[in-house]
Amino acid sequence: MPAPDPKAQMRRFLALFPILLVVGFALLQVPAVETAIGRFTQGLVRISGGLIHACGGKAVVTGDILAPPGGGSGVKVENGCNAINVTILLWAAMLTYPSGWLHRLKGLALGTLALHAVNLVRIISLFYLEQYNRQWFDFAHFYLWESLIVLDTLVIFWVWAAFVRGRRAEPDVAPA
Amino acid sequence: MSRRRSPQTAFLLRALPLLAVLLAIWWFALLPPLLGWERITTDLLLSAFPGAPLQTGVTVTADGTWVLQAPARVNGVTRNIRLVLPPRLPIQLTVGLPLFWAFFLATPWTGRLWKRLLAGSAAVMALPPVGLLAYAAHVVQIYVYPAAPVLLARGIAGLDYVTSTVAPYVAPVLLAVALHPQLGSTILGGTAPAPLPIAAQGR
Repeated sequence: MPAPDPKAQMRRFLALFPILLVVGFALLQVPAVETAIGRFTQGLVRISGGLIHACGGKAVVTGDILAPPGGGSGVKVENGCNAINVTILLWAAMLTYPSGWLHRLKGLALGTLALHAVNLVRIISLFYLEQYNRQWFDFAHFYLWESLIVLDTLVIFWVWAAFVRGRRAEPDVAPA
Repeated sequence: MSRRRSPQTAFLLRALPLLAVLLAIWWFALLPPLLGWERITTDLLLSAFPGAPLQTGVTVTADGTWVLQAPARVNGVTRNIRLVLPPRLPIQLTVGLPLFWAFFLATPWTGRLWKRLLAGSAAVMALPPVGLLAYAAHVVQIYVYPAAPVLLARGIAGLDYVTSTVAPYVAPVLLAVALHPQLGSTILGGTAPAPLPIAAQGR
């Protein structure tokens, strides 16, 4: 069987990536998906609360709200703060980039894990920042962390794509 | 012996300080002109609505609150719907510019890239009025056309979400990858347009 043409594969990627991106964001409007993401977000808040406790801090988890124990507003994790946007971006890129399914599945699992690990740092840092200074919290929440998470997504995809290309370039039979 | 840095690490080491500096420049110096641009362009687009009343457009109060007078047809008559919003959304819609510059400039400069930088900046600058219009359409749909078909209502909600929450952060990175030949080819693997030859650099 002839090897696939890399240029044709890349054209396919460039055509399919925006379509998958639109489909991903359209899915967010489906009520069942909305419910599932709501549960996922609450899970993220519970993990954040657990990590804070494990490190000796104190936080009260109520649904998607992470609040300090002595009162105070706390932080409400919503779409955007739960990194669902960048997960869609990463998945759309990985699912359409020329690669085998095994590499793709590994990339989706590890990439999503790495992305959400950074996002947990974001949620926890914002939880503390909100108690310290509201103005700094707003800046970090709306502008700084969003930018960093997008940068993180780009680098995760880049590392995975370079890995996939490296595997493709390896010879089929190792020298004796 | 020093280890050679991977391209991803080198990119991160350049992008992070650039992002910090450019976000500071944006916050302290670029925000007023960018918000001015956003106000004027949104004002013009709203006023272009067929049959728009005279008061249609955008005003910003002394405390920074944005007031949008968005035209809507109710019972065959075009009237304005007054939307009041805090400055957070208009500000958020302009954050794409420092992001795009940070991603673009974090990749080595390999030739005459000024035109691409300007084209990308222009594309990013087109986002704020679109985001505000999508927001206005969403609010108008909720309050003026609550019985709109579900698919249409969901579509407008999705458009509002994508243009105001996703595009300001995601569009800059996609534009940088698409417009910077070296960034595109390094990430996607040599199939993007090749960088300019050495002889063409630095002019």
